[in-house]
Amino acid sequence: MSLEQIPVKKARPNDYTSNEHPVWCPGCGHFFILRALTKALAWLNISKQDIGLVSGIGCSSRLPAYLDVYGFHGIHGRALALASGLKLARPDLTVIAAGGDGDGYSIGGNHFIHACRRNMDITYIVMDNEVYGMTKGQPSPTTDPEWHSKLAPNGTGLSSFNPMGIALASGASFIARGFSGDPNGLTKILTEAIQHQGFSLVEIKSPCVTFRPEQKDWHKSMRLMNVTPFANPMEAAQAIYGSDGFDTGIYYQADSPVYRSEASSKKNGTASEQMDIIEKALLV
Amino acid sequence: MKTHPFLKTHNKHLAWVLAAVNEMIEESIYYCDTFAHTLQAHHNETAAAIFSALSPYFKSEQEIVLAKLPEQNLPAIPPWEIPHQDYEHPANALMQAHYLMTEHEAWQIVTDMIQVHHCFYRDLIANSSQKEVIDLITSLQTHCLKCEKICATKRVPTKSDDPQDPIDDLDAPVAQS
Amino acid sequence: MANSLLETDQHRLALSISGSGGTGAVTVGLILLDAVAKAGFYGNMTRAFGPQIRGGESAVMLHFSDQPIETLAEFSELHLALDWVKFDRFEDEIPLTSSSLVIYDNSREKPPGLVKESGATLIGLDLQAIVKTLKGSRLNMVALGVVAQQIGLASHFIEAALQKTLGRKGPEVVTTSMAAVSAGMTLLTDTPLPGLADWHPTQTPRWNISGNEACGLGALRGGLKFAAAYPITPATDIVEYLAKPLAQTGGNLLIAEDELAAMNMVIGASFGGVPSMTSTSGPGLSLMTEAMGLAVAAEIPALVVTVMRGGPSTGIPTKSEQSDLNQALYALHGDAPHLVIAPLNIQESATVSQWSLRLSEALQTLVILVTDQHLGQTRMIMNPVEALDLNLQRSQPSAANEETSYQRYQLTETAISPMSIPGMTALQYTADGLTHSESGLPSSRAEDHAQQLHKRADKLSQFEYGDRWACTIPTAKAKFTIITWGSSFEAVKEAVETLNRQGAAISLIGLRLIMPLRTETLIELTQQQKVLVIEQNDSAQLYHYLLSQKAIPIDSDALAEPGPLLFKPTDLMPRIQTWMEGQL
Repeated sequence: MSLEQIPVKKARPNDYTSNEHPVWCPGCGHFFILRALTKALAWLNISKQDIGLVSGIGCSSRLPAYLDVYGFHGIHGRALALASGLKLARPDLTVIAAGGDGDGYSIGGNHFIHACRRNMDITYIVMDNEVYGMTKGQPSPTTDPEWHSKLAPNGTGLSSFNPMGIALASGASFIARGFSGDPNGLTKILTEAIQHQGFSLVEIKSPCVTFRPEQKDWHKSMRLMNVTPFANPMEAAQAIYGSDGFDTGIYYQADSPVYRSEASSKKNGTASEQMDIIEKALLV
Repeated sequence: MKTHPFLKTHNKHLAWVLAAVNEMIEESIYYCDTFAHTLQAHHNETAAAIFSALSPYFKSEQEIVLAKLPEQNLPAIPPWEIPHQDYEHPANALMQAHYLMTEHEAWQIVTDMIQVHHCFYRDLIANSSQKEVIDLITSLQTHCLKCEKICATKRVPTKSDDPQDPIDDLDAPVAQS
Repeated sequence: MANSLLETDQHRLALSISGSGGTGAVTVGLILLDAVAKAGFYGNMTRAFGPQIRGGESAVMLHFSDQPIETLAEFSELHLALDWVKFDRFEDEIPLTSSSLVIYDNSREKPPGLVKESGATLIGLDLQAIVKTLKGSRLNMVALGVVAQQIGLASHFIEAALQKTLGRKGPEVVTTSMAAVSAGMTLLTDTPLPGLADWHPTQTPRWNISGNEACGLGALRGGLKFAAAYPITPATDIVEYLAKPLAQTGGNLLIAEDELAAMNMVIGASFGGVPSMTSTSGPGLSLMTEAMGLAVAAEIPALVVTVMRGGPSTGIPTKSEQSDLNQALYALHGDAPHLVIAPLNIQESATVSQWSLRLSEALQTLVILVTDQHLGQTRMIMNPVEALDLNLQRSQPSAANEETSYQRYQLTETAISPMSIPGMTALQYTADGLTHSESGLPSSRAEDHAQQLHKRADKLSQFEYGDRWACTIPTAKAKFTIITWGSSFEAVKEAVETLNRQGAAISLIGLRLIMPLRTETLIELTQQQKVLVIEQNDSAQLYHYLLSQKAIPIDSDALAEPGPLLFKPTDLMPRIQTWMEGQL
């Protein structure tokens, strides 16, 4: 094969990065998620101006500032609601929401459930480090019950939240777990999640080196990309609940009805002709 | 996914090797620059300087690759198919970083990053019979050895150069929201 | 009669209908309103309900006139009781006097004591006997016939209205109903009421519309393309109305999981470039407050309509009060300049909401449009209102240029920065609720903070709002000025006009643009005046706000009363007179 015949790749990961450098703690898992995301976007060759990246508040929610796309750094817990409005108003955009475990599963829990249920074509990236990092190390919904912290000196005693189980029960049509220390697998999952038609949850184990230094050893326990995707929720539930949380890959991918904008399909005539009809209906 | 017939072959031709190597080096450059910046932002100038110092060496390594074929002519390899079987991704070394890391730890991480390159080159050369591939890899290996030597000379471990744990931080992270 | 004190040359008629669930009191009201409209007149209809969802008691109050009418009468001239179950609930809404005529179905309960004590003329009819003779007929249709006969409404108008309301159920339903109406019209031929006979019907086209619908219509005229909301009484009608027209005009409606979501959805859609709104009431507005601050900080256009009800907490969800003004003005944390606008009546609800949506777009900010249960849920027969021709557009950047990078929050002369929307090449930015610099990048520097705070305040204070900021009705040589807002306006206006006809000299200001306040103009208008602020809340919220802005003289007074009973012109007149006497 001669070199001239080789297909040319248009976009490069660095094309998607902004001039702003990340200031996450050195060693933070989020760096590798950012990189994997730019690699996925480059591979899919999505135009930068056609991407809407929405986040809430927290360490992970700084993500939009580090990408040269249309970003929205909103308020704590509400990224999915904002992203849903954006996607419905602008179905042409690739809409991605991102945040952490506290943002998505605690303060934003209700939006998480209903975003799954709506199954709009949105990719939701949760950078889960099982701790509130930005407020200095409080237990989050995914923290294990025994973890000792200033706020819960003897541990919370509460079993941790199962986001993938909740997503499955609520109607998400793509559910995957990734590991930030697995750039290849993570990039693959993100690429598939973005391509998937419907709501995609990508739950990513992302170590917090500052408040959970023990998570640096996660890479020793991870079983990378050892999961087979199921289209049947019963089988997927078995796989999700059967895992100790260290298996990565796509657990569930189904072809479920997607909530879409019906704006273009119902239109008959121009908007101003329609307004005339609407106003005439008011007459006695 | 679109199919890329050239990827089906086990015969790793020069263009594929160039692309794969370029992807790896680009990762190393990206992370060197990014970590240098965040270490600086965390006021760890010493460790930042070490990452900054290494970045140009990776860049000149990339020049060797791109001299053979400009970036826009490199084949597109799905990013998850860059073979990492035989070496750990630089990410794993970088996850051992922390904001109070010592000079010693910083040198350890950048040396590990160079090792990643070494391992990949060894694997490529072992599985290739093409002269042009072997020639390329040989020159890259020479470059890597040069880098390693520089690291070894610059790296002066001292007794006080023991790793610190962030828990000993006298000026703990500030809550921001 | 009912409005004798007002000495108006308008013809008016006030009547009411009550009944327990399933008796069809509301249906009779809606058909009557439409039939009177078809006969060439104007009117309005308000409703009162018991707490039950279905099967509870309900009542409607109707006001008819030969001119547009938004005020409430002193008492009900004709009351029709389909039954007397829990009638005491409506004692306040349906005032009966010795001048009232009360007609009821005497096959059921006896009139309660309070009805007898009112001194009203009581006429019991055996409506049930008629129903038994007409197969498939209903009591409320017989009653409709009785009322039509009493007010002198010709049967063909009823038939036309029935056709519109019941037509889709098939021709037999209309025929059966008309048979019942005709039977009812023969039951009681005498009447003490002057009725519609002497009134001059108009031939002009008129609308049958509620205030909430008008509010939605105005937004559609303003180019609304997205709405998100969570159901809440009494605001839900707005989005229920919008659902169909939005789909027709290429927009979208999203049913939110809660108000927190609704507000964020609006911000997301508006960030995407489409004019967006939500509607809610006090408790929902509380939940939206954090995100409303985001709209202000990130400079995202957003219209929030709040339809006030009795508060605090769940309060009286089905009835009116003007007690959420403080909330609209002050609920946001930080220095968060935004617009607070209120329509003065139902007739201007469409234009004020159109203006509000366009202002949010042009000023890239949050606009809170404040109405209330009365303005929202009263159904009106009124003259159609033309759409406004407004040139208020969202400013957009010209194509990206390679030398200078796009500054989303650039300081400009108008303090309004061109806003790019997703899809525009090389104009990407990250909208942020964090304090930011001109570029949009987060910053905690004092200089950036002050600069952007001032920018956001300046763009609102420097803007030229034109005459629409208030309805001012000056009176020559007036020493007194009354200031009011929202649903109190119509009653106050009628009271002031009547007093002025009787020799008083009172000027009137109805405020539409409440924030930012046109303070200098208000000072000019009121500096030599004795000022009275009239509003329907217990703590005199507008009065205190105007004082805090030094917009009115320090010796101004307030006439503030909590809801849910609306001011009536006849109640206000003596109180205004007493106030004026106290100033001399």
